[in-house]
Amino acid sequence: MMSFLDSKPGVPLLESDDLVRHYTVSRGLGRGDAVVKALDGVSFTLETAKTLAVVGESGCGKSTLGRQLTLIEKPSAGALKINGAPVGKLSDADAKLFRRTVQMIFQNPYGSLNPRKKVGQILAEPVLLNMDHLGRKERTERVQETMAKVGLRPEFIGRYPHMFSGGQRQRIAIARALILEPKIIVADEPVSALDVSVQAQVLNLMMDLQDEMNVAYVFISHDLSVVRHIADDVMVMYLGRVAEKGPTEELFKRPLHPYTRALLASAPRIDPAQRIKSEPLTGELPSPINPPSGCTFHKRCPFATEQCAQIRPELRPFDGRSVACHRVEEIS
Amino acid sequence: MALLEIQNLTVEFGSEDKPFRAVDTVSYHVDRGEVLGIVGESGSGKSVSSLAIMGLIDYPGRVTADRLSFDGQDLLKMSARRRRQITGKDIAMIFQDPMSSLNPCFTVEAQIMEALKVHEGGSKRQLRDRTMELLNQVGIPDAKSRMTAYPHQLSGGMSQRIVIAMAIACNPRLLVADEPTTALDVTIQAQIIDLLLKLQEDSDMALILITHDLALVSEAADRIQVMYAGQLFESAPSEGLFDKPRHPYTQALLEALPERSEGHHRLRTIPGVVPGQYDRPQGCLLAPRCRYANDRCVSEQPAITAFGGHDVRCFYPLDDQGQPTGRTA
Amino acid sequence: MSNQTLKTTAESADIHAAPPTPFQEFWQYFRRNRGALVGLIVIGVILFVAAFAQYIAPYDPITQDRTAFLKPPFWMEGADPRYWLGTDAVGRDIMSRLIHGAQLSVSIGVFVVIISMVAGITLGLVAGYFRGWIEVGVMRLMDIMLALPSLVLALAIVAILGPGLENAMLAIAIVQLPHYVRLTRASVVSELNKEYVIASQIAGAGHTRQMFINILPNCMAPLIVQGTLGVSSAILDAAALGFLGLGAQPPLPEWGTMLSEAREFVGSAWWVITFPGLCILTTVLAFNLMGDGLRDALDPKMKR
Repeated sequence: MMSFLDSKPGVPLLESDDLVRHYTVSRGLGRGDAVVKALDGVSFTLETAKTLAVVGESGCGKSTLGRQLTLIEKPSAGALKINGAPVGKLSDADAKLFRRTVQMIFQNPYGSLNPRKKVGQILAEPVLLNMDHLGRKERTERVQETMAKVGLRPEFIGRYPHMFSGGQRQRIAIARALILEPKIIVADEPVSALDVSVQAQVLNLMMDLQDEMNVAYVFISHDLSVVRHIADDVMVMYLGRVAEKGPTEELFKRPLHPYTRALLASAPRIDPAQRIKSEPLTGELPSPINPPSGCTFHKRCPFATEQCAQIRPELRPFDGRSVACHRVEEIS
Repeated sequence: MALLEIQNLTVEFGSEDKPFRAVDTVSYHVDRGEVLGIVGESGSGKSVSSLAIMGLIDYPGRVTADRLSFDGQDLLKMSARRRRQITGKDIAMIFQDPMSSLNPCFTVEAQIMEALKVHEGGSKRQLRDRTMELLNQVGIPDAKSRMTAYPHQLSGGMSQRIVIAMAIACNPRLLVADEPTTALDVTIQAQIIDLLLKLQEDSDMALILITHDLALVSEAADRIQVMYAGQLFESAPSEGLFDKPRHPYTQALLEALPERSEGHHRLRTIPGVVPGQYDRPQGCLLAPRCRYANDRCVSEQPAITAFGGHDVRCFYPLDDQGQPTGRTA
Repeated sequence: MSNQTLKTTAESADIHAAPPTPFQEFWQYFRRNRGALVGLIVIGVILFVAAFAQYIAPYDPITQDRTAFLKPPFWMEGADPRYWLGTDAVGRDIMSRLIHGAQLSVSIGVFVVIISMVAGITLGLVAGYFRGWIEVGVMRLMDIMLALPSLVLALAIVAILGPGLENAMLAIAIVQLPHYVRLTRASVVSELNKEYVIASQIAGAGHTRQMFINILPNCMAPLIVQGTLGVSSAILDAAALGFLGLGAQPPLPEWGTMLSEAREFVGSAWWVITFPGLCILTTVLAFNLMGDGLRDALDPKMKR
């Protein structure tokens, strides 16, 4: 068994190969079940100490992706590799190693901390469960060290989550994800529940921690300005599939996929010079139970042709990026 | 004369002896056909102040004001019944979560017609035609089939359009939109904001847009007010506020945006948190977090003064270079 | 990353004044409810009396005084000054019997609630946490139990087990079980989707840890309320079974049994039947009042 912990030269830290997650939903008596393709073949790689942002609107599958990466759910198909070691059916010992490699931060700092537990107990849980060689005293030391690292006073160890503000709670949540010193943190909308001033504090903290501990982030977000600031690479998703993937600056400067363009144009900007004047995207996200044929975006796309309605475009390299669009050469 | 005029509006919660001031002596006005943006972080009192205008603060909240008038009529002095008539017809409000603003038990048609019937009346046929017209007006495709839909059959964006249709049903002269797009995706947000602005222009209605999103108000509003911990901190025309903020808080808030830190690794932050019920500072409410604060700021509360075309609640408003003025040592 | 920046971030995360602890907050809400406070005081008195019954009661509850049959309370004509609340048909001091009865009633209430809470919470947790066929099985069984009138079900169970105080308590505990199971399951199902549960799952928490350490404490508020109300209905049910002769057996001074023994004197000696009845009424009312107060204070939906 290869270990998740040892990095190997030339092998990416995290590799997702054609990851698929389908849900079956019952449509009521006598109508049979429908299949929702929440994640329909997503591939990417993530290197140590880098940040990959996953952006898209609700229902695009970005949170589902997060659930697969942290093994909250088992993927329906596809492969996940960490340091080249496949993540499949894990033995107890391997599961512990996996948890020491991949951790998660949630969107809502009010829901993600157990209200009946003291901060110390919340932070000690991962250590207690995964580092059984540590005694009680060492565990407390580790908890306090981690609290200091995320900017919380170690004296707060005996306080309950409701005594903290949203930003401080998110620090606690970050500390919990960090306490096992993972290589990868999946952060699902970690700052979208926070106010602007606090959001900046938390983003800075996440970037500092990345510099200090070489942790890689999978940063799931809908906020493009935050993504532009924190990410090295961006993956734009639409209805369970990747629309466009590439280095952040290039993607923001010159979006290729029509959906990426629409997304950027829709985001409000303070600087009038930065505003992209274009017609707002018409229509809404189609139902994932019954997605459109061909390119799932064709009904909202201003460039759609007959071909787009018939044939599904595959993700293909273009100009140093990957784009899933038939007409990328013409419209770029 | 302004359409809506508010002087020293205060909203308090909690016990009489230890009240919590959610809104603290706020004064402002809205002109006819104007888009006023109110921005602030959570706990800034931006939503509570608009609920107070609508008369929607219930016991144990206490609302006081020196003046609260709409179109020359004093809302505080009139009977509850008369006030309800105004706040249903002439002032309308839409909320953040469209799903909870609609009654899940009735169809879209029934709910819009109910709103019309109360304030305008007319035959069933007239009401139905007007409903159809409203749905077309708010850009609902295939309005005929959506009329008989129930709220749970609609997406978030569609529901918000329905809520807007209900709000504009009686041709209000003021529409208060409290975080109307926060629950929606960016592409839908853009559609809804465009819709609100179009309706506002077409009918010369005034619009109060309450949001936490600075970029959003910068694109939509004519005039912007920044609130903090229940107080009004700065009020200015849209461009002025973002080009030359006069209040240190506005300045810091803008700097904290990732958009303003492009090319830098770290974002500038505002240390600390918004004061809550138990840690309200004695002096300027921003003093513990302000980078320019001195002893005076800690002990005394500044009043609102005019400076550089803005109204600012600060002893040392910022000059064109973003440096505090009038400060000695 | 320099120490300087770490220090400033630590300072920025300061808390100026501590907000109230959960208990302080609870007490603030509870205190406002006057009925609940009265209930709490009455329960305090009853518990005190029950705990020190041997020392408070002037006489032994089962010793008969053959010189004083059916003596009325002290303010009535022909009263025996030794027996304040009078005596019953076989010359036992009613007040002493009531005081010892408090001990019995309170312990019945508490034991019944403990038994059915432990069993009910476990079943509810398992049903709500694992879902699937376990849930279906447990919940349908509970539905069947709820479909039967509670006293009839209790009677049936006592009839199978045989009359007596222990069996009556067991029967009442079984009858109360479905309430706890349903309540627990409903709370568990709503907690299960919260992110903190998923966070613990990612941290590697097993099923037992998830159920009992992470989820259960968050479901306790409605259960505490139900438990308080359960004490009163257990006392009432025990009294009913005692009255029907299937609960505590004479000469035990259980309040329901006392009522049953006094049935024939309803017309001639009202005190024999009134005082046990009043005791049951007061105790049940006190627990109900406190239960309502607890609900207001613990249920987040009632809070402003």
